[in-house]
Amino acid sequence: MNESNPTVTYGALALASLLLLVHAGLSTAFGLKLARPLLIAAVRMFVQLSLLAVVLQWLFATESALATVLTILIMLGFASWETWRRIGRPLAGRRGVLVPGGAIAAAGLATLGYALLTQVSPQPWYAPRYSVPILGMILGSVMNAVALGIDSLTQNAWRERLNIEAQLAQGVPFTAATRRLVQRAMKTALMPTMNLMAATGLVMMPGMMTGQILTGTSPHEAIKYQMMIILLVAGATALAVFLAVVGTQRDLTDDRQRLRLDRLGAERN
Amino acid sequence: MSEPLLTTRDLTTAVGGPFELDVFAGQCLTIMGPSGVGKSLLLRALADLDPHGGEVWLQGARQSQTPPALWRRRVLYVPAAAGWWADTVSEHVAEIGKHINDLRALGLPLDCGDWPVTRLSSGEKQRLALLRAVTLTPQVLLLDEPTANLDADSGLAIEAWLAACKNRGTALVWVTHDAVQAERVADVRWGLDAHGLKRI
Repeated sequence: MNESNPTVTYGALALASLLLLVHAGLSTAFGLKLARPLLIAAVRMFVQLSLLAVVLQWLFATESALATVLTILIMLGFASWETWRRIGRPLAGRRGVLVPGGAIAAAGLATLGYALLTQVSPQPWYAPRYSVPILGMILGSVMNAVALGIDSLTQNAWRERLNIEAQLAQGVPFTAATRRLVQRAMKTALMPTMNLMAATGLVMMPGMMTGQILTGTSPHEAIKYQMMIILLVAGATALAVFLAVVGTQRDLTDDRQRLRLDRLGAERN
Repeated sequence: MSEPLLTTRDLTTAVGGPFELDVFAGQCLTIMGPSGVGKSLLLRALADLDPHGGEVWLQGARQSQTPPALWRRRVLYVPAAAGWWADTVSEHVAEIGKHINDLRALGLPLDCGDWPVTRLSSGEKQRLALLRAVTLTPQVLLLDEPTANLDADSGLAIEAWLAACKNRGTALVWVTHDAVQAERVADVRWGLDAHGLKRI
C-alpha cells in the first residue's frame, strides 16, 4: 500500500453528494417524480454502507470463525431472498426461495472454498478479511444470473405450455420437451457474465480493481486480483445457473413427467 | 364379448368423477356435455397429462406402472388447440412423403412438407395435428373437438378419415358439442354433466 495515497474525507463525500442535485434537478425538470425515491435510495446507501463498515471493522478485528460463518449465512439468506424477489414468476411456496437459494449457496460456498484453499490461502483459512468480500462479489453476480435463468425458464414454460404439452402428449420425455427452454434460460443467465468478461478493461474498469489502484496498489497486482475475481465469479455463476435452472426444471414436472404449472406462483408485475 | 382395450375405475379429475369407462378396439365413443363440465380434463387424465385419482388400464397394463412416454404414445391426446414446437411441417410429421394419401384425404397441400407451420391456416393446422398424432399409431386416440372451427366439408372429410383409422383398430374417444356429429360417428355415446357420466 502506498502511504502517500489520499484518503477520502467527509468533506469530499459531501462534495460528491452534490452530484445527486443534478439527478434530482433532471428528475424535476422532466417530471420523472424520482427526486423522493432518489433521496431515499441515497440515504439507504449511506446508512447501509456505514453499517457495513462498522460490521466489517469488527469482524476483521475479531477474526472469529463463528462470526464469519454467521455473516456468510446472513449474506446467503439475503441473496436467496433478493433473488426470489427478482423472479417474475417464481415457484410457489418455500421452493420459490429454496431452489435459487440452494443453488446460490452451493455454488457460492464451493467457489469461495476453492478460492480460499487454493488461490488466496489466508491465515486462518476462513479469514473474514478475504472470505466475506470475495463471497460478496461472487453473490452480486450469481444472484442476478440465477434470477434471470429461473425467470426465463418459468415465464417461457408458461408461455409455451401448449408446445410442451403437445410434445408430452406425443410421448416425448419431459427433459427433451423442455430442453430448448432450459438452453435459452441458461444462455440468458450467463450472457451478462460473458459480456462482463469481454468488456472488462476495454469499456469499463471494474470497481474492485479501481478501488485498489486508488488506494495505492500497483495496477499489475490489482489487475491480477481482478482477473481472479472475474474467473471465480464466472465459475460460480455457471454452477449456480446450472443448479437453479435444472432444479426448477425438475420442479416443473413430477414422477409421471407431466407439466406442473400449478407449482408456479402468481406472476409479479 | 372381447376384453376392453381401455378401462377406467374410480377415475377422478380436478372437477369430476368417479368415471367408469370401457373402450374397445375399433370403437368410437363420443362424450358430450356443457362447457366447463370437465370433458377435456377427463381426456387429459386418460392420457396421464394431469394428476388424477383412480386407475386406468390399457390391455391390462396399469397406467401408473407404465412409463409415461410409452403410455402417451399408446393413449394419445389431441387437444382442441394444438402446439407447434418446431418450425416446419415435416418436423412434426416424420416421413411426410409417405402420407400423400392422408394429406389428400385431409385436404392438406401435398407439398406442405417444407412449409413453415405458420403458413397453414388454423383449419389446416387442426388437420395436421390429427395427422401428426395418427402417424404415431396410437391404440387409443383422445380427440378434443377435432372438427371445431372447420367448415362442414372439412369436418366430414375428417370424420371419414378417422373412421378409416377406427376400422384399422384404433379406439376413438371423441369429445364434441355437435349432437348430429356424435350420432353420425359414435358406436357408443356418453353425456357428461355435473352429476357424472351417463350413457345416452
